[in-house]
Order: sequence, then structure tokens, then C-alpha cells
Amino acid sequence: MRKSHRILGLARVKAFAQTHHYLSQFCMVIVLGAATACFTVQARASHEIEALRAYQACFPWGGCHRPLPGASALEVCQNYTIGRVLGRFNPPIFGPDVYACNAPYIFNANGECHPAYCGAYAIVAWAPYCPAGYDLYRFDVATNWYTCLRPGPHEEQQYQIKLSLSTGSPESGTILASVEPGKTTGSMVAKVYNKNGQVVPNFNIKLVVDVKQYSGGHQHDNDRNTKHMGVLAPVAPSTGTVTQDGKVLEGNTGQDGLRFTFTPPAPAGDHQITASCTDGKNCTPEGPDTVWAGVKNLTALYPSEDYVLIGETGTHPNNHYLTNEATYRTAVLASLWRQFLARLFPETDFMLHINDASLERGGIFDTRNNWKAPHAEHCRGTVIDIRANDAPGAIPNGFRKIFEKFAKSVGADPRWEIPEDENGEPVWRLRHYHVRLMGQEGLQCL
Amino acid sequence: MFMNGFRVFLSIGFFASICSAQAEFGRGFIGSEMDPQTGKFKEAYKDWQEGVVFNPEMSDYTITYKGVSGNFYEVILVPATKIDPALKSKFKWIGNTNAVRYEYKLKNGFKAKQPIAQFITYVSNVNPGSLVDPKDWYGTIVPTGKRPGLRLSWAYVGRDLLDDKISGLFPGQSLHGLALESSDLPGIAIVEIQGDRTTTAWLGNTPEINTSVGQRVAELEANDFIPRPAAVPLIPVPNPFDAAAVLTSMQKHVNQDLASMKLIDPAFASQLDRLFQAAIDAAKGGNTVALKGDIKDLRRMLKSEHADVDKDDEDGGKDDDDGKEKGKSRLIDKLAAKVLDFDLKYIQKRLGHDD
Repeated sequence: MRKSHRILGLARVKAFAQTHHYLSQFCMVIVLGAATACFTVQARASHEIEALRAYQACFPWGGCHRPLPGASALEVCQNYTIGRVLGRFNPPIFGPDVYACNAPYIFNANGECHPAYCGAYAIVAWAPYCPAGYDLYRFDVATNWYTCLRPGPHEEQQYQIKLSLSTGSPESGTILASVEPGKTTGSMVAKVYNKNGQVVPNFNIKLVVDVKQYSGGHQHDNDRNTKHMGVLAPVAPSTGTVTQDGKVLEGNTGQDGLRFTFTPPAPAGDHQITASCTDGKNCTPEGPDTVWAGVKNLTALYPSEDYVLIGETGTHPNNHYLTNEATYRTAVLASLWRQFLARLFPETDFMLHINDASLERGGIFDTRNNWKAPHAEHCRGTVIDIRANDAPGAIPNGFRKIFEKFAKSVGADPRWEIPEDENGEPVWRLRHYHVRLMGQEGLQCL
Repeated sequence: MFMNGFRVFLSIGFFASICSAQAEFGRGFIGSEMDPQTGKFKEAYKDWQEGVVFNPEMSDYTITYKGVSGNFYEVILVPATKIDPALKSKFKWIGNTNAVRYEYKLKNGFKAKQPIAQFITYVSNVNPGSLVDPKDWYGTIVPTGKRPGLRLSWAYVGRDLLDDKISGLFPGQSLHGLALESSDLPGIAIVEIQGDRTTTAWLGNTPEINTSVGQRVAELEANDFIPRPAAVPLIPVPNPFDAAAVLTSMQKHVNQDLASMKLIDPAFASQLDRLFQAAIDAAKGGNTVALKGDIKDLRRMLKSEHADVDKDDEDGGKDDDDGKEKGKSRLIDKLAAKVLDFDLKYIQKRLGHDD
């Protein structure tokens, strides 16, 4: 018991007409600044009385001066008290297990402050005009004393908001949905549930999407969460309001939830959708909330004696991801190349120097860290660059035709490229082979 | 008749195309004009029109496209089809084994403007170590992960290529000795034959596939070969031997491959299909007598179109026939008929048929 809230007395129990349980009236003298008073409390059952007592120094309308164990009620209620609303009130009618934060003022229908609670408190509003987010609550029918209540933490915890695919559950235990970069997910739905797991209709909710830092193989985040975070959109029959360039979607859940889609940007990444209830109702988000944007089934090119992996950078440290078939063709090409040239030039070891393939989840490979794609076609794990300039390990100039034939032998399409610099001028010293390992398969980038 | 189909296909693939987009003034670079000292490409400010334009004088394509930076690039694409290939294929049993030896003779006609540099096809199986490479040619077998399973390639890899010369099988030359062995029976496949040419240097980046220029370039390159039919291993022979399985593979080959290559008349294919199905049903039902009869009927049908279909032919893949059949409209290509007859004869042999 907190010293400042000592119970100084206990009076009789009084029954209210509508209850069949015993009712009690007791007198509590509570130190609230200089104020001291006795109140009548209504109770519907002994266990409820016990529950109130467990929180000590409860007000007659159920307010207590101590937060619930383990709850962050003080933080939630800030300067208000947490209270449990019991019994018959008019209006509004709360359920028997509803908790609320009590405004620190009590007033009558004339706006007069209750003598026990005026003290240091000021009346900021009176019935029926409670501050925004509060409900009017007449706690004493006989004397018409009112207070304002706002939904407390226990009421919040009664609701959960869950995201899933419209076809059923989320894609997995951790992923809500997956989609290729730049493409639109299938229809998803946000629903509000009560504590019994039943869908509660007609909640106004808000969805906010944000891209997770450093996801999708990009170790850089410049402007990513403001300009490259993707777009939410409502799906009929749901309607909603989209703001902040698609980052926020607000709408009503209706009978079957708010249906929506998400279109991630061209770079791969994880996009977290945070769902919440509006209109002063707080819902706890539950379950997977992440849209996985990327190309599936890419694996890292394994180390080999036949080639050397080059081109890793601080912002794109894993730059050699390919499909299984492309990996296989790379390995065969490098092996054929090395073995053939070993016969002609046994004194030299010709290992292909393999530069960028794709990032771990494909998508735009923005070598300039600007979320744009100068690195054409390196988006689906089907293309590699092979050094072919004057740098160490490059395919020598005179060997290009032979290399092209070996590349074609394995079904690849070698293309001799002279990349441009930032001014768009082709730079001869950066020349390389851009090898479409699967021919024309898997080249489509956004 | 049949080869005309390929020629039509080829001409469609290389039909000159001009983009209808409006010209746009801007900065650009010409890929064919590079200063070897500085590595700088010729820069130009002019009206550029994106597209693919065929130059009939050189039989090349001028590709104009816009790079990511907004600059234009102009490069030359030389097709690898300025060749005049003739391909002959032979196949025969190796002694008393169940393996077939396949041999190919490649010739580049005098009309060709490029040397032949590569031969690519798809086969079902090749016996390990059996690939034979003529001098300066290098053969590879690479699994594809798709049917029919293996990519077979022979490429010219002579040392003169090390100087970036255009080289290979020059016009008027013939190449013997491309060979392999397989336990699979022959079928007909398209061999993609390519000439050697100057490599295109793509400035900036290759026109991406999702652009109109990129799509046109992709179409050109997808057909950048001269197709020739040849006998290659395509019909697997299960061990233990299963006549129904072999016949089913042959039936599918006729209905799908030969039909799509236009090597067989559709009505004739339907007649063969009925007989194949009867033979398959007989094989599955263990009715050897009926099976042998159906195979005889199949061979008789083939022979009715090509009297010498069961004769060993040094020029197995030759287009023309013997003089007796000249002028007759044939319902099946001769090489295709010979391949099918060879396979049927093999089944008869395994069934203990005295033919």
C-alpha cells in the first residue's frame, strides 16, 4: 500500500436494487492532496470487490491509484488513474471488465466540482462535454455525479489486429506475403479480433508501411524509407484513404476486414506494415506483418578453383547470387574455360574473374547506391559480369572470341559491354562481358 | 519442300525492322568509331531515332538506343548467318553393341560470307568420352536440366582466334570428323549453325529486354543461326528393353518434333500415329505377333515414300533423293524416314524378328 493512499476507514455495504449480489458501502478516506472523502461503491459480486481491493485505494467508481501489476497503466493514463468500470451506468454502458483512465475531476450536471475532488484540480470540462477521447460517465445515479473516462489499457488489450492474405492465413509464421520487387501482392486483409478470437466489425484502422533498414542486400538506406518504401492501396469492396505517397492507408474494417495490397519498390527488401486502430481505440497488432519483396530461390555462388569472385562493396557486400541453373552454367563455363586454356597455355592459370551477379534477393542492383538501375538485367539471378579489360585476371583481348564460343556452348549469351560513367560516356577501361547465363530467360527488370 | 519452311522462318527472324518512334535531338556515341589510343568513342549531337535498321548493303543491323543516362548509343550488330551450311549426318550400329555412332559432315558453301564457327544442338544422351573433335574444333556436352537433356556443341577454337581474327570453316571448305556415340536411338533435331563475326560492343548497356529495341534485338539474336536438321540421339532405350517405351518415344517424336519441323505431312503423320498406337498397345499387352505386324506395317509405309529407306546411305542427311523418286511429292523427309526405319528395325531385332 502506498502511504499517500491509505485507507482510513470502511463503512457499510449497501445493496443496489438491480443486483442480486450483495452490495457494499464503505467509507474510504483517501489522501489526495488535502482532500478526504467517503464514498459509496457499487459492487456486483464479491470477487469484483476483491479485485478492487487488490489495487488498493480504489475510488468508488472503480478508479485506483495504482497501476495494474505488470501493466504500463501509468504511462498509458499519464496523470490519470486507472479504473475499472462496474455496474450500471448511463451513458455509456461499459462491460463488466472494462478498465478506464479516470479524469481527475468529478462534477455534477451543473458543472459544479465535487467537493471531495476539487482541491487542486481544475474542471476542464463537464457533462456532456468530455475532452476528446473521453466518455461521459455518471457514476452516481442518485446524485448525478459525473466524471470523464477514457478507454484504459485493459480495454485496449481486448482487441487484436491481424494481417493475413485474403485467401486465409499469412504466408508463413514470419512473413505476411512475398512478392517480386515492383509487383503487387495478392489481396491481403486486416481484421480486428476480440479476446475470444472473434472478428469485430467496423473498426477504423490505419496501416503504415516502412521498409526495414538494410534489408534485401542493400547496406545503405539513403532516402529509402521516404522515397522508396512502396505503396499501399485498398482493394474492393474495401475503401480507404491513401496518404504520404502510399505509405499510409486508413479505412474501415467493415464486416470482413479492410482489404488491401502492397506494391514494393524495385529494390528488394522487407516491408513492415504496422496496423493500429484509430478513433481512440488501440488494438494490439498480432502475427506476421512483413512483406518479403524479392526474387526467390537465389543462392550464393560458391567458391571454386575455376573462378574468382570480385566486386563486393560496403553497400552491396553479397553480389554473387544466382538461380541454381545459372550457378551451374557459371561453374561449367569457368571449368571449360580453364581446362581448355590450360592445354594451350599450361604455364598460366586462366580463372574467370566474376563480378556482379545479383543481390541476395535480386531486384534493382544499384551500384551507385541511388535505388536506380544502371546495372541492367542483374535483377533475377541469371546474369553475371566477367572481367574483360586490362585488370588482373581479365579475359585477354585476343581470347574474347573463344570465350564467347564457350559461353554459347553452355547455353549462355555473352555480351560485350562498355559501361557508361555518371555522365553517360562509355568508359573503355570498364569493359566486361555481361553474360546472360540463361539466354533470354529471366531478364525482365523493373 | 521441308527446308523451305526453315528459310521462311529465317527470313521472318531477320526481317528488317524500323522503329516508328520520333527522332530526338541529343548527345550520343557511335560504337563503331573508337579512338584506339584514348578509348574514346565518337561523340555526336544530332537527331537520334531509336530502333533497329537493316543495312542491305552490308547485311548488318544498326541499333540505336537510349542509355540510362539519357545519352544515345549507336552500334552495329553483325548477324552470324552469312554462311551457307550443308550438314550431313550418318548413323550406324557399332559392331554387335547396342550403341550407335553418329557422324556429321559440315560444308560451308561458296556463297557464304563468313566462316562457320559453331554447331549447337540438343540430344538425349552421349556415351562418356565418345565425343570426337576434328583439329581446331572443341566439342562440349552440357546438361540442360530440360528435355532432351544435353546441349551438344562444337566450336572452332583455332589459334588464329587469339588475334581476334574472323575464322572457322571458310567458304568452300568441308569439315569431317564430328562424331559421337550413344546408346540412344536417332531422331531428328535442328542443328543451329553460326558463322564467325565481329563482336558487337554494346555501349552503356545492352538494350534491356523490356524496351522495344531490346525486344527486337532479342528476336534477332534468338534466330541468329542457320537451322539444319540432323540425326542425333533422341530416343532413349530403357534397360531392360521395353518396346512399348521406345515406341511411345518415337510416336511423340513424330507427332511433336517432326511435325513442328514440317518434316512430315500431317495426314501421313496421323496414319503413322495410328500404327504406333496399335504397336504400343500390342507391346503393353504382350501380343508379340501383333506388335511385329504393326512394326512391319510402319516400315512398309516409310518404304512406300522412300524406297531406299532401309539402305545404308553415306549421305544420310542429303536433301535430294535418288533419281527414281525425283518429281514425286513425298510425305516425309528422307532423313526422317531413315531415322524412323532404323529405330523400328532395332525394335524388330530386339524382338527376334527375322527381316
